Amino acid sequence: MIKKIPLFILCIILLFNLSHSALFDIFPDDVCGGDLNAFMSSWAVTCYIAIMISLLILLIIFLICRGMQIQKGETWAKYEMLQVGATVLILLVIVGFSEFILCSGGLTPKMIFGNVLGAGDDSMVVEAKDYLTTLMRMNTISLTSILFFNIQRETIGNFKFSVDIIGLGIGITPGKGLNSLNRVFEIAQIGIITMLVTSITQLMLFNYVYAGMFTIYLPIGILLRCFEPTRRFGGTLIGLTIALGLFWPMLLVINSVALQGIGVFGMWEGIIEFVAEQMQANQFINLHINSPADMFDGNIHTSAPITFKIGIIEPMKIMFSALSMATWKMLAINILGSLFLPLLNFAILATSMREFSRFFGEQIDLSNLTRMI
Amino acid sequence: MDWIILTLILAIFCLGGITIFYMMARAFSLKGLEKWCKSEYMEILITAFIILAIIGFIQGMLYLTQEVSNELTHTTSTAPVLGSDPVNAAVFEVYKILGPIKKTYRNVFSAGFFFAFGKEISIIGTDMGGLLSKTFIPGAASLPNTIIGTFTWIINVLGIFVMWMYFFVEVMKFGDYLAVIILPMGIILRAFPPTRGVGAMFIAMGLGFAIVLPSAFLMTLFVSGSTSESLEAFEIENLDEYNKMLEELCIGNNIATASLIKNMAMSIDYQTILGMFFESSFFAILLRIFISPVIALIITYTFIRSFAMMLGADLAEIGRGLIKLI
Repeated sequence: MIKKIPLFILCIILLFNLSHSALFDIFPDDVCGGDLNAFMSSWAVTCYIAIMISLLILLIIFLICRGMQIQKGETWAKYEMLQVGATVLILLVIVGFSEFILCSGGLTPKMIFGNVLGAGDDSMVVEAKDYLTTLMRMNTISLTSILFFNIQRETIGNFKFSVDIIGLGIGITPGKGLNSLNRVFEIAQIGIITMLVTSITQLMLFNYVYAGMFTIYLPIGILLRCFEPTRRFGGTLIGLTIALGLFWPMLLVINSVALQGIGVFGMWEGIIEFVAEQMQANQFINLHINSPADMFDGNIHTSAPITFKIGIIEPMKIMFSALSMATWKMLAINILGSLFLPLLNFAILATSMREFSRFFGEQIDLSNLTRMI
Repeated sequence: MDWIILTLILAIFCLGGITIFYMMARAFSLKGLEKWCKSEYMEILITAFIILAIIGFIQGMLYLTQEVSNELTHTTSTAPVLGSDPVNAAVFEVYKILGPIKKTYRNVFSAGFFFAFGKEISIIGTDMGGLLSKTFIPGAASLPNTIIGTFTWIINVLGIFVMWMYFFVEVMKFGDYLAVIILPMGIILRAFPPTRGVGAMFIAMGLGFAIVLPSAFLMTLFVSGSTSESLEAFEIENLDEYNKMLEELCIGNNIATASLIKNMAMSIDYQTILGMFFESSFFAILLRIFISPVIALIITYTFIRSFAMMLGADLAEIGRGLIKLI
């Protein structure tokens, strides 16, 4: 059996070569974007070169050992070539899966989840990226709305009116009661800024994974896995790439489908529309923006009876009560999407990283990593 | 029961794959692979047992939840009141609880708005017919800021509570929807060695969110006696009168109404109002209800962690690290 190992290795290399050639046919420009095609070919070629380098080194060692009649070294080289074969198989599996996950002609959320709400026709990676972009957009719009809303509240809350006719009058601060909502908006602003940072970080990490993991870490992992002293570390890098590059988009797509399935995005849009409508329709704000004097019936400089416009204070109170309630609901939805689910994903990803790295090489010490984070 | 059929199909698919590996191992006399295939057969057998256990667990929990749900809604009938889904029953309870809380929020905000308004009213007088200077009689100086602050605090607490309950509802709905996706995926992932831990975690999470979380919440509510039936909105005396006066201020004689509001704001017995709030059953029940989702989430987290570990996931360190991270 052991005599056939070099032949076996050569067969695998040939198979890989063929599949790699076929890879370019599977990714024509009209199916996947040109960028994706270039991306796929670049990391796959680098991995291929890594395999060839390691095989070449082992072949040289094998030939030297054969020439010098070193039986032990010859056996070792054969065994190592078998390990290279195993690495090629791992690479083939990764290439196969990444075709499914990365290419738009491959596996789509619709193929997995059927015709359910939120399951799109694009590739898993594109869908996952769309989901992260949606989360970021959601937090950005929420933050903008809350900031605008808070500025209005603060302006109205501190607006003072004093009216006196023939030396006798009143001074009022109609929106003073709105100051009780200070803390609501403080919490909302801090919370949503945190969530915005989280979603932007996720998106950046996602881009980094596709820019760095496949093109840098995976080829290095493949190369390192081919040699005995660095086999475990190389396997760990391969495991990390599988967990982050192939497993993470799937988790994000699951989140996206489930969130859309329960109508979270629709609910959020409803809240934002409600906030916008209330802000635009409010008589007090419109009057305040136009001219403070418009708030009063009659001429402020004459001795005619001066009255506030009917229905200014009460609707203002009702509107801000409803808007604060909408803010709490918006916060709840954003927390679910931007804080709770990333934590859940982190737990699952941590488990998968741990298992994949153990399977391909050395187990990552995640407990220290989480402590460090 | 769709997920069971799907899971069985996936389990048969796994069985087929391993059988092919086994045949290859026999054909090429690969003892190691043959041994591995045998151990994988055992894993599939275990998976079948897991499916059976899950079905039994779900049926048991559904029955228990149904009983609790009937108790909460005071139904003597054995027929299902809210269907057999514990998430529906829990969400129904939360929405019933949210009604009085939102009403209390509006009441307290409305009253706080009036008091703050009254406190800030100034009466402007002049000397020398207004030719020299104006004298502002300040707002209700006797009304300390801490009183208004306490109203603000109550509004914030109620707001956070509303947010917490909405969040909890969305988590339950999300978990229920998620379970249909991740349970079959968990079973299939558990069949392969590199993804065994993740599969175990998916199974545990699916069951945890869809069954354990709502059931634990309902049972905690039931045990604490904090049912939606016992929660009534906290009403503030004379609130309608305050609102009416604000409207009058907008319409009629400003100075007279403003003086009246100012005097009223100064003379209200705030201690009694706040005392009534903190001693009311509303506040006591609110605290118990606030704790219920926390207890339910702790139970669910413990269940997910221990059940996933039982099924083969290695979460001991991750669990501790994750809690620290949270």
